[in-house]
Amino acid sequence: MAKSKTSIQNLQPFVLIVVGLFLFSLDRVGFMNWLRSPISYVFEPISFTAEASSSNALLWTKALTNASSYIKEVNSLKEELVSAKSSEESVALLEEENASLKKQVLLSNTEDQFAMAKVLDSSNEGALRINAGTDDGIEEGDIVLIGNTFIGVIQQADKEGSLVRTLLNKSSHYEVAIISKDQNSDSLSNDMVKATGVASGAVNGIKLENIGINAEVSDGDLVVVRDERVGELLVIGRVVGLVDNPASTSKSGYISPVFDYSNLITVFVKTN
Amino acid sequence: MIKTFLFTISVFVLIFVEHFFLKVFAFSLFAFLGIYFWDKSRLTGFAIYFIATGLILDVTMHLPLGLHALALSVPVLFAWLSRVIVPYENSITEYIIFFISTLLYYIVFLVLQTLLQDFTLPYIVLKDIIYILLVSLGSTGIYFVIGLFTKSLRSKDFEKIRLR
Repeated sequence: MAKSKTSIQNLQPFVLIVVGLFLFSLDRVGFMNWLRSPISYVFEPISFTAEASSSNALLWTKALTNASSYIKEVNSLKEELVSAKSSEESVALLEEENASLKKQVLLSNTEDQFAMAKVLDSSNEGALRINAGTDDGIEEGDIVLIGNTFIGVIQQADKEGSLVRTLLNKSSHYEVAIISKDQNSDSLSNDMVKATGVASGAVNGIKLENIGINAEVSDGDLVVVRDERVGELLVIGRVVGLVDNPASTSKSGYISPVFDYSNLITVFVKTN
Repeated sequence: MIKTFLFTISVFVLIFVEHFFLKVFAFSLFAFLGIYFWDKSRLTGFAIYFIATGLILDVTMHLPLGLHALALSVPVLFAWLSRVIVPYENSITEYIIFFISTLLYYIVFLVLQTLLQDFTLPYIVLKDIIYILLVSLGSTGIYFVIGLFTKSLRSKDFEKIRLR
């Protein structure tokens, strides 16, 4: 009896492998969506609560280790508050000007529908976890942006949360257009394109490749995504580290994104 | 009835604690418990519990289903092979095997995560390796402390009455 118990226990790793491969295969062909939804409905609130608690714990740990710098910051903020209060009238005028400018500036087409989401976590592999999912109308392949800046694409959408693949991800490849550095990023069109290229995720940033050798591209030029999967011109960032090797057939460089993806708090997902 | 109740509660607690510790310490309680209990529980209980919780973690982390089960299978397979090749009980080898098993889990999880999702290999930098080593050492330390605690529960009188 003891011998059979031991021999049955020996099957544990193989059971895990077989079941794991079986579940993965079914998930890849989309047969497991009926299982993902209820699990997401029941357990994602628990994971969100755990993530929020851990963020607070990390904040407290950071506060304890940086207590002296926080005290200095508080004291300098007190001085700033005094000077800010003394110029309250001019601040009120600025606020009114800011509100009217916001009404006039249209950052996106008003016909598009968006779901707002908070970024819960970011990974070194160029992925963001957000707290909006299929319940908010999000589907795989939806574009994630802030204003007219491209952030990424929804890779996996569950009921209450989703995974976003940013341009830093190794499997991200997009056709891009390069526009003059002096061009206003709020109104883009195909007439302003200086050159085209391909943006890919790499270990040390967003790589920009396949730029024509004769293209008049320089550091600081604006890079916008012009890919049929995205469907519109959205800003990625600026060209940096351009390499102009006369011996090669194309130019390459890197893109400095508008936002640091690991510091994002709120993003918008285009759902229509 | 009570077993089912305890099973359900433990699943909820494990999901909460796993997300909490992963974010704060990059420590996986799921891996620790899986490697600790693989040879201490019945096949059906072990398989059902860890496949179910692995499935739930796959969904809450938006990963391909089966990833946690596959990642756990590698260290369990290694531990099983080690036991077949080098029988060990209550020795330093046991802790070395546990350390290597935990190390294997984190490395395999890191590789499988990008391999199964994006079909590419991940960027493994020195910082990641150092962190994985530290977490594996920490897990082995906890395993050692638990071992000491369980041994201390056995009283000297009990040892005396055992037939030799």
